[in-house]
Amino acid sequence: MAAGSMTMDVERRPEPEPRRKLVPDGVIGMVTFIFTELMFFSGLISAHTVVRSQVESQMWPPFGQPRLPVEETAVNTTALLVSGVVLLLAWFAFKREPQRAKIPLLISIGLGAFFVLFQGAEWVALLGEGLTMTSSTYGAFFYLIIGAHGLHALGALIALTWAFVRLDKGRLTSSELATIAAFWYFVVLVWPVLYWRVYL
Amino acid sequence: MTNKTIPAVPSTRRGIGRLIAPAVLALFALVLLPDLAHACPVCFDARDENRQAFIATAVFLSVLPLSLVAGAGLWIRRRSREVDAEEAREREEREHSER
Repeated sequence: MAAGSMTMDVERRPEPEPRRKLVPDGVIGMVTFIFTELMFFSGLISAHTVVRSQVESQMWPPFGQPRLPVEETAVNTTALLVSGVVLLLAWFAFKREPQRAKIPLLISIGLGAFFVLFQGAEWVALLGEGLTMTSSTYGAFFYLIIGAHGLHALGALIALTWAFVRLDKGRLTSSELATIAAFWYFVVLVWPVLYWRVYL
Repeated sequence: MTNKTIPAVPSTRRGIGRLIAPAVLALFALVLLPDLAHACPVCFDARDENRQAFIATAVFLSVLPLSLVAGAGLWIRRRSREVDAEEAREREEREHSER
């Protein structure tokens, strides 16, 4: 028997079913990005903690520097936290029926916008009182840490607005919403830590 | 029997000889290390608040990435089990309906 004509009867097995994705690609990418951002904010907070501990009189804010608006920012913090909770409700609503998520998503965006605008108004008042990036280490840390968070909040708000437009057109996928929501949760959850370390 | 060494292969003695210079340099570096340790910001500040802040932030920054990676690993493991359970349930339902 020639080798070329040798055939084998192989029983064809059914193709294995493709395994479902554990986590959407966008969420994996966003989680990796959030890890790097967490380390970035941790570095800033650590530097702030060390500099604060070096103040001779242990008086914070240092002498001659304006006091940060602790009470007003507490209200703003509440708005941001509520925005996170409402976004979670939007996620559950989206799972049931996508169009039901429109109102909670809009409320979440509104509360986030309130937070960013309030921060802007706070900055204008503080600049008026003489607190600038170059006025002291206290001012430099305040604008660097809170400013970095504000930029993240602004970016996340733009992404949430984009998600709302897609939802309105009926094109938003659950993977897209999960990715953007992960970023907003990061912005929401990192804020109380920043408030505690910088304001209190 | 001849006892000739092959020129292309370095002898053991020559290999050890080559290690002596780096070992001496490493010994010098070890002798000088205590001086370098004094440059550590935690060591020279006598103020307790500052020392504690350095130690706390060093521990925090060391533990955070490890806990993030561990957390991500646990989350993926849990998600994998959930997906396995979902797929098994769907397979059972399909088989049941085919019968």
